[in-house]
Amino acid sequence: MILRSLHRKGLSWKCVSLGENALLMQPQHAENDLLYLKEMQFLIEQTGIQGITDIVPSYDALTILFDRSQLSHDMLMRNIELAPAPESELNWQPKHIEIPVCYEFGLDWERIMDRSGLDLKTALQLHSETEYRVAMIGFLPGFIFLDGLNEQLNCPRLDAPRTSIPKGAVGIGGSQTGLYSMESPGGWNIIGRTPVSLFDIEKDPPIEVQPGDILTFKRISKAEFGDLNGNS
Amino acid sequence: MGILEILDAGFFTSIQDAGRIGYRAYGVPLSGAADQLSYDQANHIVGNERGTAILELTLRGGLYRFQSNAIIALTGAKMSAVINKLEVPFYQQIAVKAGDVLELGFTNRGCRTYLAIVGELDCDEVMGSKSTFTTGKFGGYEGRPLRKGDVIYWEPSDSHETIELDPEEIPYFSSRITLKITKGPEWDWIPGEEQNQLLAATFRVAQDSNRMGVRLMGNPLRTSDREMRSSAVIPGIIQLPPNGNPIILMQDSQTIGGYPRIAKVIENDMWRLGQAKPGDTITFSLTY
Repeated sequence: MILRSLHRKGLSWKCVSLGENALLMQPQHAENDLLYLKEMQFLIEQTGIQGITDIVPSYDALTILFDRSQLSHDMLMRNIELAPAPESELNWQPKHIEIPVCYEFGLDWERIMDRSGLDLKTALQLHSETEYRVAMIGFLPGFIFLDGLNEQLNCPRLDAPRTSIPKGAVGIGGSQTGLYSMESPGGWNIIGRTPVSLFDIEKDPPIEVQPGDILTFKRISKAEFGDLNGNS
Repeated sequence: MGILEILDAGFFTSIQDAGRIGYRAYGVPLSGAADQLSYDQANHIVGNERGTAILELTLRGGLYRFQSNAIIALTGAKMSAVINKLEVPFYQQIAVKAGDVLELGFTNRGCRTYLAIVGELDCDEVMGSKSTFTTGKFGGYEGRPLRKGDVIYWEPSDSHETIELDPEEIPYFSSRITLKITKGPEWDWIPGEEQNQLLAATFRVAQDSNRMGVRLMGNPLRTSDREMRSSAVIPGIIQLPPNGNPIILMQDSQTIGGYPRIAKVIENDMWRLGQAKPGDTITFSLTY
């Protein structure tokens, strides 16, 4: 249900209800969604609106969850529109993260080679030499969605999801690539595995990677995987 | 310390509380009791603070031996409940003696029963909640459902006043469930006749429903070919996957989804959803 448009700093946001305790906000006609989403999230956090429980960034939207005994959609939208400009500017720089990955643990290279007509060496190169941007985190705890997959590597999800994908698996699902931070069921094509642990329930926040960060993969051998795995 | 020994954990029993709030941006679901109304009532009856972790039992309860005296209460879906060959009541405090075995059978109506013990369960608290999230393998009892041989300890508290629930507050669990819904962000993606169909049809709760989602069958709807960019979802959202059988997301559901979000069950009806068991029917009514 579309509520109304919200205006802030000359940009219009489409606001949609996601139920009584959630508001979905999408910037309209913005060329660089990511930065607008970051700035809006920063503004909301700095304003400290009482009753907000979660701010969830996704590709092209921010979803704000709130306690409906303290806030309503209308109050939330007005609070955002009337919020004073934050005292400090958003000082956000993407982190550059290099993830070691052993492609020998890939299970579905055959499928990808069949689809793309590429040989293994080329396909590996295309995946490992690309710079990716973290699009969002979610679906499962610590699952990292990456933007920037070379189109030639697009490969549809498996018809029947696997019941168990190991922690650290790197996958391709359609036109997306991503990282499974914990063991779980999953339907993506598995092309490798990292020994690095990215999600830790003992830490707060449990994952340091954020949307917008730059991620690159570094190819490692099975032996190096074993060494790193043993140390972590 | 109080001690509870699990002789038989029934169909699916896990430790749950009010849920894990504030971590969705990292992909961490809400979890917590699927029927928050019955959960709150169980804690209220034994005199626990709101939000205290208790046991959620599904479809069949199991066998529980208390090795310490305890004050307990049962709420939610009615199962046969027996201690020392005597039937014990729901929605009341029950004084259990060390050595007693609580035998819990099958639910007749409703899906989930709550067993509250006065005191604080000694179990894993993760990100501010003791709720078990089995997919993530964290929280509660080693992040998994209980099984035979497990032992749960608890720190007894001394609030033993008798707290009665107004009989009118005891919910009725129907096997013919009507849920009020509001339109979701992608409501307009399905054609008008399919929108009408969603509101007119009677759906059946499928066997493979669980704490992640209630899967509906019996009335597949035509879906849109439009590709959706994955976006946030929350419990209560009704997704329409390509096979046309709606899925209503529950407590353990994912934080991001790629299927059209055609509607959302209102918060006040979420407890009814938590009590929907395979074979029950569900109909929807649109509210604004």
